[in-house]
Amino acid sequence: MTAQPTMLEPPVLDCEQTVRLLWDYLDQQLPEVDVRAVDQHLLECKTRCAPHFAFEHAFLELVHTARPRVIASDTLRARVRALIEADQHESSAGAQSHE
Amino acid sequence: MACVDSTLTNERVPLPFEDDALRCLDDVARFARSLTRAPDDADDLVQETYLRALRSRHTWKEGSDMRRWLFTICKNVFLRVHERARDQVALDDDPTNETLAAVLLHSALVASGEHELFDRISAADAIAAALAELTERFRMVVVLVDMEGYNYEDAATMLEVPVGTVRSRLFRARRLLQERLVEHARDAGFTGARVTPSVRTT
Repeated sequence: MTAQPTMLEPPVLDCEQTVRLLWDYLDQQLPEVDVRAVDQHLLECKTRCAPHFAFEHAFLELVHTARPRVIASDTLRARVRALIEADQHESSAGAQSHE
Repeated sequence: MACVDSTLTNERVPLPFEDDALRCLDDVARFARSLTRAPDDADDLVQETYLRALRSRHTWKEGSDMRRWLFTICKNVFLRVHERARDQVALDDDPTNETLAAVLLHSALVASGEHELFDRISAADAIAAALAELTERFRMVVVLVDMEGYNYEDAATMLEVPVGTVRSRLFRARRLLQERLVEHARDAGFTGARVTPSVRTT
C-alpha cells in the first residue's frame, strides 16, 4: 500500500489577511495552499470580501481587454525588413572577406 | 510567449532569428505605442529596437522568448531616449498598503453607489486616457503584466528591477488607474459622491 501525498491544510484567514492577498491571488502568484485559503474565505464572506475581489477582477478584465490593437504598418514592416536585409548583406560580406 | 507559429505545428520548433523577430513585429509595435502614445514616435522606437536587436543578436539564445527579448530592448531604448530612468528610483511604495488602498477605494464606491462603474464604462478609451496620465515606471508595469500577460518575475527581468519593485509599482499603478477611471466615469455622466479624500494619497 502506497502512502497518499498529504495536502497541506489551508490556514483560516480573516478579512484583513484575505484582502492583503488580493492582487497576488488575482494574478495567480500565490502557492496553492494560500489559494485554497482565500477561496474558502471568499465562500464564507459573501457580502464583504467576495464583492471586493469581484470588483478588482472586473477591473483587471477591463484593463486586459483594453490592450490596443496595433498592426505594424506596411511602411514600418518595410523599414524593419530593410534593416534585416542590410544586416544579412553585411554579415555575408564580412564572411566572404574572411575567406 | 516565443513568437512561434503554433497554428502550423504543435511542436515548438525554434524559428530562424530573422523570422522570429519579424513575427513579433505587431507585438513590439503595440508595446512601443503603449510607451510613446504617438504612432510616429512608436514606429521610430520599433525601428531602433530592431536595429539594436540585430546588432546584439549574439546575446539572443535560440529558442528563447524573442518577444520578451525585444520588449526589453524596446523598453531600454525608450528609457534612454527619454532619460527618465534616473528619476525613477526610491519612490516605490509598500505593496500591502497599496492593496489595502484598492479595497478602501472599492468600499468608498460602494458607499456612493458607484461600485459597478467598471462594468459600465467603455474600456479602451478610458484605460488609454488613464494610462497616459501615469509616469513611465507605472505605465510599463501595467502594460507588461495586465495587458501583455507577463508574470511578476518576467516583468522584473524585463524592467531590470526586483520582483518586489514590480509588485509595489503594479499595485500602486492599479490604484492610480482606478482613481482616474472613476473620475473618467463621472465625467462621462456616471455621477455620484466623490471618493473620500482619505483614500486618495497621490
